[in-house]
Amino acid sequence: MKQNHAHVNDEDLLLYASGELDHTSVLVGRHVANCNMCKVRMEQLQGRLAEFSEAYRGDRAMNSTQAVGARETLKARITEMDRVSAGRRLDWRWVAASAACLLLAIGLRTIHSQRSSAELDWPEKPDLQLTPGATVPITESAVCGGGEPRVPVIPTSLQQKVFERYGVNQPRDGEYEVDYLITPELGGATDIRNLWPEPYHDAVWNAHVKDQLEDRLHAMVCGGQVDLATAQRDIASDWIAAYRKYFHTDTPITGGSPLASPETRSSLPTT
Amino acid sequence: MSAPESVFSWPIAAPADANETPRPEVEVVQLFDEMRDRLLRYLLALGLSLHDGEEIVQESFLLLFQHLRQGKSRENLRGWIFRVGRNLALKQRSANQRNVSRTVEFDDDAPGQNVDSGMNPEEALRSKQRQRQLLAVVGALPEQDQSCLYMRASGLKYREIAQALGISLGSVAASLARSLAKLERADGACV
Repeated sequence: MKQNHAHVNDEDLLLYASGELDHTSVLVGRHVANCNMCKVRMEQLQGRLAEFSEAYRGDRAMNSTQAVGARETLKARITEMDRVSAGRRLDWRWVAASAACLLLAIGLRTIHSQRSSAELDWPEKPDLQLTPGATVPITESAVCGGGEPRVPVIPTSLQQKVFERYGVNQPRDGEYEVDYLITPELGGATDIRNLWPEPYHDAVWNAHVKDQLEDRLHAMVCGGQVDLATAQRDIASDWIAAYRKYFHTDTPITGGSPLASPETRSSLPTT
Repeated sequence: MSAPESVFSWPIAAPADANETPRPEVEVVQLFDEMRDRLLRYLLALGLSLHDGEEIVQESFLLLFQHLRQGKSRENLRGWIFRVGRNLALKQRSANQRNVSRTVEFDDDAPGQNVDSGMNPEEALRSKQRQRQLLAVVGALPEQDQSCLYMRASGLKYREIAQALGISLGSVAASLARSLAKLERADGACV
């Protein structure tokens, strides 16, 4: 940086070059017009800034397909936000009539929340001490490569060990599925640290619900909406929270996702 | 009993009169088209994952929609959107840092590394190395200096950067001059 007071300093040169120097602009302009050193310096600064800008923009390619999808998502969310606030603004009678329903819903929800709170433990969620999740080294392109994803069969002996670790003795047929915490479709390993006995039917957050999340995450990873590491981390750390996050709902959805398109859903593999 | 209808529906036509203030939803989507990539790139440069970055972009523009609908200032919206995005990103980043004590190891390779395909392999390698060198030098700067540089590289004006960071125009210029001097010194050290 220049220290010579006879010349324009770097800060003013930068501002002058950008046309944003205000009251001293004329003076600086006059000086620069007659000072070769300042001109050269200004070009150096501009050149370095341009070189960095190119490196910065070239570092990450922006996906135009994702941009279109994001734009549509934003429009949908704005519409939804507007619809909700329009309800608040326009129809107080509707709101008042809803109040009674709401009170009832709160009562029901209190009961439900005892089972669906984030603090739920096994069997809805795995014990993270026993099942922290484990992955195999795999790339997104391999995860999304053509063909039907293959979910390895878990050997009976390994299933037995999983049941033992969770203290389940002689489980009834169809009561539990020894399931992958991180599904192999997302790079999950056939490893005891990635397996847990998941209830099929009794719990609200059961194996069928988790299958929906696995399908959704696989589609989002392959659609470039979520990177693989994030998908793995989210499903491993708290799959119920991940379900709420990706489906934008507090309760499991029956009959399909509000966000995934029908054609996307029908093409997704299930575990 | 049915929920009230939304007050608008897509697609929305721009106002016929050029002097008429555009409707907030139109203005937001127009600005999204212009700024989404720039904001997302900035958020990724701050160290967010692609997923978090996309979420924050969405959140920022929804907040902008609320801001405009409440009739608040329309001045310097590009700076406004970067300011909100940055605040959300720093919050998210600190939340992520609190949650890194997981036992599972994941591959966190950054997506979208890009090299100009018009170059021969040797040129491409040199260009990539140069790019990494520049980004590494900037990555070691204080967050505010990084942000100034990233925002300038995103095409924001100095006054827009000043508003986004809540600092004066002179501070933006000083920060950029400081950062460029660091890049210059790093070059000198490599020669």
